[in-house]
Amino acid sequence: MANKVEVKDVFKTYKRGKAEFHALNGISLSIKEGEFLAVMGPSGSGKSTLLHLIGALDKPTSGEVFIDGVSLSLLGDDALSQIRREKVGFIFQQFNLLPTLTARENILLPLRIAGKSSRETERYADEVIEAVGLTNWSSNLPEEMSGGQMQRVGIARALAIRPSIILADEPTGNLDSKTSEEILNLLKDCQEQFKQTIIMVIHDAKAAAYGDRIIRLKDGQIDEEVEAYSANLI
Amino acid sequence: MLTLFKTFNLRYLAKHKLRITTIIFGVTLGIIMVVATALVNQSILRSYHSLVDTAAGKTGLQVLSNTRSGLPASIADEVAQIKGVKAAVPVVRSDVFAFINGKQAGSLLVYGIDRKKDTNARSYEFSAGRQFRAGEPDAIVLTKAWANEKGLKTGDHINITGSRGFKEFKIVDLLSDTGPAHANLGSFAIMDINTARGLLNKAGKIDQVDVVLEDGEKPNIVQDRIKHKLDGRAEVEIPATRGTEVQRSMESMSIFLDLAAMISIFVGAFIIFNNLEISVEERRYGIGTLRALGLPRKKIFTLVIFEAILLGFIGSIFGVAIGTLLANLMSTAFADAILSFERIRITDLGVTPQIFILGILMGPVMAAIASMGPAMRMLRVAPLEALRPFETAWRPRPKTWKLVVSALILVIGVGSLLIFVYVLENNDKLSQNMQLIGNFILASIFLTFLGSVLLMPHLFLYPSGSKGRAHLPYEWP
Ligand SMILES: Nc1ncnc2c1ncn2[C@@H]1O[C@H](COP(=O)(O)OP(=O)(O)OP(=O)(O)O)[C@@H](O)[C@H]1O
Ligand SMILES: [Mg+2]
Repeated sequence: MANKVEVKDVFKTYKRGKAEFHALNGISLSIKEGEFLAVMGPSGSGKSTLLHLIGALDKPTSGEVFIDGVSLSLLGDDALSQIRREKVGFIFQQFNLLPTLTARENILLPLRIAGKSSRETERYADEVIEAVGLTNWSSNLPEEMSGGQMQRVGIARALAIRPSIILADEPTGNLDSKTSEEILNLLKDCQEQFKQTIIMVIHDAKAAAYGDRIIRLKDGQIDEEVEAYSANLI
Repeated sequence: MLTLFKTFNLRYLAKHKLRITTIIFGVTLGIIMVVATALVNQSILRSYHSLVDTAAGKTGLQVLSNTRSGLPASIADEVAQIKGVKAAVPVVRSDVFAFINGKQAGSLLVYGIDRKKDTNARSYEFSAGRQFRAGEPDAIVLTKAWANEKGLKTGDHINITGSRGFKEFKIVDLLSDTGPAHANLGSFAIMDINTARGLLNKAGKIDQVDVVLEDGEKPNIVQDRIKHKLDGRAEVEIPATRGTEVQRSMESMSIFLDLAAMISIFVGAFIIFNNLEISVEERRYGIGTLRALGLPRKKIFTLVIFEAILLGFIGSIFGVAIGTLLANLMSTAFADAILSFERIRITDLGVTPQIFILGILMGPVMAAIASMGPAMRMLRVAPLEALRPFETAWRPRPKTWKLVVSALILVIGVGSLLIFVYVLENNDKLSQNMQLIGNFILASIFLTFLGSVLLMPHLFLYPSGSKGRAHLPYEWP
């Protein structure tokens, strides 16, 4: 099967005062279409940074990221924006909701940005809202919601446009274990039903087992890579 | 795009009513003064025209009656004999009321003239070429402009109030829009001198003699000769002295208005610049989020500019409306104060299409320019800025010393202007020195402007800066 995402020898360097800090330190990785990859690793190991580069939210210092075989480094703002709004659904670690919009409006925002707001697409969005358990909260503003609810709004927003790639940065970080399980099952459904490719950053090893494959980052490098069934055995 | 504007921009605006009211107020402030100034200047210009092209014509000196009953008609011949006088033109004049079909149609300045002699002082242009015959009893010539305004044409009849009630006149011709036709802003009519005498009960009398001088004669020398000859039986004036006085006060009024308009544009623009800047910067986080969700740069730009243009347009509408109102108030006060001359009248001020378009366009243009800077800055907002709101959050830090200094400058500016106006009113010697007055007023206006501009950011940035955190949905760890 074709590689949906390919990361080739990627470095990401931040300047800290005069010193340079390598958040990503030469990472190469391929993810197949319809694959579910779990990314683990200690805090500061570069998990979010990796996800941002794949989601076309940031540019690597060196190396290349390919999506559907196209190198992002060759694309301008219009094309990168198009990838962000049409191919990628990003579940942010800090939710990033617009404070002036209600939950449902936040969730429909990507459809509106993409100009794909129709009765059909909005019906799917409402299904997602139901699946994340927000039906009764859809007209509330973010400030009226708990962290867990805001996180679920962020998840629904990423899924509503039914992107071919879902990038989830600790999607269950603020959820109780029962809701976490529901969300993980929802992601698994997305993979199975719509063949969506999923890359999920996760702390919990049990949750990571939802993936087909698990990689572990350390100091900006891939420290360990295992197939999920063997992780289950561990 | 429109749905995005509705959800992203309008929702923000609805939540920040004070901010948008301030922006709209800034636009309105600038436009009020521009519209008012343009209108008043326009009417000053018109009055000025009426002054330059009035009935005085080539008159170098005027012999005027010092009583209400007028001068004996023979005085014109007497004056004509004096050395340096080329022609002495007798005039019977009066302000009368006109009635059309029994309805009041406004006042008219009527000149009763001796057609033959009058050509020395004035050149009329009759549009039908008929004029009136000497002694023709009921013939009147109106200006074309006035007749058009009242819907009258040659051959129509008009009633005029005289000393013995109404008298009906026939409009035998109209004056084309040149020279004397501008007198009294067009509310001007001529008739035969004897007809006027009959109407006004002034048999054998005249009201003034318009004196045309020989080439090269100095008005004040001839003035002395006439005064000497008449020996107190009449006043002798140089018509221009009245004119220049009024002209000077109109000029200084006009300059003052221009300055006021400039200042209010500056202050208005400054308010707009400041508040648009804040209102856009406050949304940096949201704009980062929109970028992360795939909104391209150029659409961010469009959203910001479009919003500014909309606010500018609303401000413009208020500005034109209030500006027109203010212009009418100002010109009334203004006319009472310095233009209380019979010959100069500030007409009703209507918005001309040019001024309307100028006012309506100025707001959106000003706002678009003001939003250009923040809009450009928003182009550079990276999608990831949404993830680090506190690193990039833009919070102004007002410095107390700056606040004190700018407030002080403002107080000095306003204070010195007030003190100066007070001193001016109580000191005749000082009020003669126009140059000093001009410079001082300029300096204090500049200080006022500088003070307000420096103070503005403290007034507007501070409250929003302290609120900056409040509308972020979560606390950054
Ligand atoms: N804009 C930035 N400037 C400087 N350093 C940064 C920046 N963004 C990330 N870093 C640093 O890069 C490193 C990797 O960050 P990243 O967010 O990818 O870690 P992470 O694995 O997601 O950690 P966590 O589990 O805490 O979310 C961290 O040490 C972080 O401080
Ligand atoms: Mg992270």
